[in-house]
Amino acid sequence: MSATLTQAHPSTVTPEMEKAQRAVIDESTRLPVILFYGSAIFWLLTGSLLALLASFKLNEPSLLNQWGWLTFGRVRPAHLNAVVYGWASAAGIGTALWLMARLCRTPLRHSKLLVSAAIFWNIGILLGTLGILSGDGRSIEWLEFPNYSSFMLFVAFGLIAVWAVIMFRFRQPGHVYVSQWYLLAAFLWFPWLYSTANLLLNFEPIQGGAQGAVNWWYGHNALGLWFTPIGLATAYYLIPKVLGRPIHSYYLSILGFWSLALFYSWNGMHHLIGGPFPAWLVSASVVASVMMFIPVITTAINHHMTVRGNFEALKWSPTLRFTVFGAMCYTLASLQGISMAIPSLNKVTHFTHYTVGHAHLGLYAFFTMIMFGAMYYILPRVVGWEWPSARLIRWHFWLVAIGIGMMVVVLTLGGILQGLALLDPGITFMASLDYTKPWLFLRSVSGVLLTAGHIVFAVSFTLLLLKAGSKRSEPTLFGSDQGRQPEPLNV
Amino acid sequence: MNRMPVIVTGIFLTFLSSWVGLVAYPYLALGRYTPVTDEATGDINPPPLSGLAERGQQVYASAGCIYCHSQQVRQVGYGSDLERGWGARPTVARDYMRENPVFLGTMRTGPDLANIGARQPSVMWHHQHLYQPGVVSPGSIMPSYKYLYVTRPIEGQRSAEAIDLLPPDTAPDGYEIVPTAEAEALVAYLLSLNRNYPLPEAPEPPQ
Amino acid sequence: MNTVIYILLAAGLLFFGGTTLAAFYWAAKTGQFRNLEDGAKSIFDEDEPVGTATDAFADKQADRPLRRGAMAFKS
Repeated sequence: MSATLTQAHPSTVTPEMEKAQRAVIDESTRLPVILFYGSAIFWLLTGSLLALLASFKLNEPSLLNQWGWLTFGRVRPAHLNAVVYGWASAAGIGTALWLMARLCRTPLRHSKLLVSAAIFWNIGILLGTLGILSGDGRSIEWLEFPNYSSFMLFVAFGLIAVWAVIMFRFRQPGHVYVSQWYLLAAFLWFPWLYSTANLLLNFEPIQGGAQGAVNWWYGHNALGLWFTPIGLATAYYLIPKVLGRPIHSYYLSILGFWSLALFYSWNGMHHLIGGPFPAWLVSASVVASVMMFIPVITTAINHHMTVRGNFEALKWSPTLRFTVFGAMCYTLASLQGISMAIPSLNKVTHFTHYTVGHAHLGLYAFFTMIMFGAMYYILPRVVGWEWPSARLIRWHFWLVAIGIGMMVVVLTLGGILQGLALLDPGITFMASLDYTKPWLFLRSVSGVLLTAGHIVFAVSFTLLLLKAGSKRSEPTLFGSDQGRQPEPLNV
Repeated sequence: MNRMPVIVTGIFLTFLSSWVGLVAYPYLALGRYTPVTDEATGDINPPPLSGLAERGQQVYASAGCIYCHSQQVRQVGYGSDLERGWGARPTVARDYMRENPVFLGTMRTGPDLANIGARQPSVMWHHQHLYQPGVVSPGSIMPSYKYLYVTRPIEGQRSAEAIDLLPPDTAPDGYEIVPTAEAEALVAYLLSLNRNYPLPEAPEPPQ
Repeated sequence: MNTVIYILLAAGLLFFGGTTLAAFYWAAKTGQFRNLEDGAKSIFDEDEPVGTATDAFADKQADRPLRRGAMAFKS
């Protein structure tokens, strides 16, 4: 034990050696990271267009309704699956690969495993999205992909999990950083989650009454035990690293990890409050949801205290700007989620657009924004080229920040009005629908802003891959406030 | 090198507890229902679906009706489901024993359909509604499902199954709009949605 | 039926409690709680030490040095 913990004495390792080693590690992740990031951005654009179409259809139901494959009930799940698996998961995997290599302080091994996973992954998403549009969708929320697609995703997940375990085994001795805990947990939880849910709902379906429980055990855990750990692992690395300031309390970060692992996995039933389930089952989920206060507040305090006093850094660091935005929205989304699990409030928000707003606050304002931040940090180091245009980055930030802010606000307000109307039996159902119409129009406007932001980002990404513009500084050192001169990469 | 097994064990055990509670338990307790025979009437509840309705269930899944319509009547104290007349009693797990996939739903952009077969028992109403929702439900934002229908020239007599009471210019003169097999199946499924029968754990409340 | 529920609840509770205890026992034993500062600093090295910012807009260098905290960790 003691031998594995012994580190080389600092004096024997020069900064130049460390820089060279880091460059080798970054470089070793290039192909898989670019594959996952590139396809993620492709699916982000596809998913945005599907989302816009679905949103417009609620404003104008006669839009493109002559074809079955573009009906609202197919476009909406196609959007969800394209962004959840095609974009968010792939962006998360790309980020996690790079983080694992850096934190294990070892060049990425077995990249063939990852390249195969990326290929399986994208074929699976393509088949699944086309499958939903052509009518093979299963109408099981978050698990609509038909079996021929989900099987390919499972193979990809499996390959990645195996790879993560191998990387962890070959890590350099030293402390296990909290991000590695989160990543390793996510990589082991998710294949189990995904295979169990698909087995019980799609391959060997169980009875309907039990399907609801399994469906939301999966749906909620996909957010809590897959996206949340990856998002937090990224924030726990990037915020300290960009600021050059260790995390405020390492103890709190570890406490946050274990309380998340304990409570989050029990949350799912709060999607079924009042439904045909035993009261204790739903109550257990409500209790676990309220207990989420512990990991959420722990993480919020920790991130805030780390950034505190350095908020002006948000002005000069694109990575930090996106990441801190995401970390703050994690707190907001989680607190909102806790409140929505309380039955008296759930009565209003259940079955309304409020829930849709909440989902976007979690998956977009928290997770997606952190992924953008990670891409801004990782890609220059992997490609060996600085982002070509700071202006494009600023446009990207403001378009998506205003877009998502507006979307969450209008869906929340519209959802509350809708929910109060639904709760009052004296108001006709049609009137509850009328309350939502102006807000659904504004939601479409916010969707246009988001899509515009995504197009700007895709342009920026393409220019970076083409190595457009002039090489401004060494990628691993750009923006240093230490006044160091850029040096050529010496690998 | 003794960290790996402990981390992995911890990660699996925390997850296992929710697996036991939210997957294994529901499977054992909610996934093995049998139908109940009503001693007074001899009815089997929940009633089995006809072959046509079973196909309609898959059309319902394929068209994604679940993204706007729930199929659950919540218990007293959780919303106005009963007051709105969406069902005679709250639904219970046994009601869904024949459902695959289950369409509990999470959105009510449209009304609940748990008992739509009892609330709207007319075949023609459903065809009119699916073909042009605004005709029978003004202000609705439900899309038209005209892709489930064909417009064809009338040969001799107008077909019995052709949809009537649509606005005059919906189909050109000499044409009629008839449901496809999928539309017939979907309507058969919608009409089968009637969960107002009594169950031992959910007796119908006195009117 | 109720008995089954209670047994499952108790089993879940044991899993919860047992896992937490095992995890904390291990963490305490292997020094995860002792060298917290090492843990927090493990992502920094001599080349990118504590106190060095590592990201900025390409057209805008960090014009002001970090104001608080950063230097305090530099020991």
